[in-house]
Amino acid sequence: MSRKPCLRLEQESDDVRRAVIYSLRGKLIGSAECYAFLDEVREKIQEGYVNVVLRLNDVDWFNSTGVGIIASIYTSSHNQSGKLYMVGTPERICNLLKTVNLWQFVVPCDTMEDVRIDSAATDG
Amino acid sequence: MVKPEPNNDALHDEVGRLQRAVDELSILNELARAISSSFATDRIIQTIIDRSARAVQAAQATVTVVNPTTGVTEGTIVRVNFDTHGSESFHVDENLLGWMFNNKQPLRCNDIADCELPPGVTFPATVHSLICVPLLVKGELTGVLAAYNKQDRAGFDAADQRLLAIIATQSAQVLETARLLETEQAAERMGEQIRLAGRIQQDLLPPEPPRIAGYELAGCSIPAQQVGGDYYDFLELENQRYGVCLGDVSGKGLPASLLMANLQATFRGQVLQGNSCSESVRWSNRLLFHSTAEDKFATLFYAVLDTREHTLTYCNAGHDHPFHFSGDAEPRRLATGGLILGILETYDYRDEITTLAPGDLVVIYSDGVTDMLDAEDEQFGEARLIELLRSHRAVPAAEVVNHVVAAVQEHAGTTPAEDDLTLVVIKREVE
Repeated sequence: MSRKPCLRLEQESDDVRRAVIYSLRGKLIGSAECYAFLDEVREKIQEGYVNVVLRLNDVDWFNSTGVGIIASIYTSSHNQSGKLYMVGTPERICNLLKTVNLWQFVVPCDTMEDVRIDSAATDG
Repeated sequence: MVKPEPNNDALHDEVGRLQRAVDELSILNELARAISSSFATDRIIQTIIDRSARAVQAAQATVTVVNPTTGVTEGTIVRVNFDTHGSESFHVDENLLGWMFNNKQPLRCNDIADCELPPGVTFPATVHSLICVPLLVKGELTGVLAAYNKQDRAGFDAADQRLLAIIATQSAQVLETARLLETEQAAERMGEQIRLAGRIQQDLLPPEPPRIAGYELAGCSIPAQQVGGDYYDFLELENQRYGVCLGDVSGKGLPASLLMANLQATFRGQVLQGNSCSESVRWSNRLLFHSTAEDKFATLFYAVLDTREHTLTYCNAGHDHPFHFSGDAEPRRLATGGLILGILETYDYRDEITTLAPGDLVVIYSDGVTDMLDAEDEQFGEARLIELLRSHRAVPAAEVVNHVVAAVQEHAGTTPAEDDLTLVVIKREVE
């Protein structure tokens, strides 16, 4: 019997805004899938998609390893002069990121439209 | 009646057949004795190869050990080479291993150029004859025994193949048993090292809290595994001041414990240089940033208790906000400080000073306390912790720790802990 993946993701790229957008579903914890996700994001940043958009609406489990993954994505993006956008982040994840003081470094957005407005303002 | 004269040729053949059978039995007996006297895989393989090559008069023989699940070579290739003329080493290639993995049949070939080898299988031109037989355990391929180049270029015959197949059958289970034993012994050695690391780590924690007039300190750390990523520390400073620290390194197990030991040593160094709370945290962050991967970090709460001024100066580097119970008010959260350690090279952390009145209680805890799950995946949670602390305000600090640990463990029941559980309590006694 195959194991049910604990993290599912959909990814799209926006060449104009040099952004990669991930919609995550499931558990952002210390699993092999989550570390594979982190590797993939880092690769995309290296390819030039320096802005990362994370949609965590459907992430139902998030722990300190998830914090480490977010922190790592932030630093990789920041080192390439990019931004980390977090769209529709559930309150419990927000609270955890506020506790560890990471929330101040991300760009929180309610919708993808907010991301577009912010990135347009940055480009402008 | 006249007995028929025996045919000389038939008799000669029969004698030869019997002689060969005796030789085979002798070889197998010798092999059985040799391999049963050793539990070392390499030595057993060496014996198998040595006896096999001699038995079939091959110039060279090899055993290739295979993972029975994947069919991939595990890299153990041992050989003997009786060919004094050439130094070239032969081996079965991945295609032949794949064919063996699927077919589990012997392969014999006495003219490589003319043989119908499995697809993709190649050998150097210096190989003129070969036999490969599978090593099978419960029908699964665990290795391949191969003999190359029959001496005098005579070619391997069916009897050679049969003998090698018998050797393979006899050897495979012994080899597998030795391999399992070695794996078990390696796991035992690793387990012993982890137990030792756990004891060393426990020794890094304070054996007992300092005794301070008018105050009680207590602490406890229970790793989820044999070693953990949490730690707490009590440091005696000058002028009746005491450092109190609780750190939580990301991850679990050995990697986290190594980082934890690094953090503790780094942080102690900063504190003992006389730096303020925020300076100690700032420098530790910088040092940790340079010694960790991007996704590794630590949370740290550090406070200096001044027992003359009755103040607690603290800096919270992304740690769960400790509780400060004072009077009948709702507990304050000690949140001032800054980012978790190890993420940014430079960060300006801030201090805050809070006053401790008689009877005040400060509780610093790791997320292993509040995140502990029960059988229904329900967390112990902050609300339960606050209620528990409120109802045990009057008891000594050490008892507060015991009550919390007991309540969290009762909540978990038989559910294994996912995270380390660490707790430090500072209590100003009622005058």
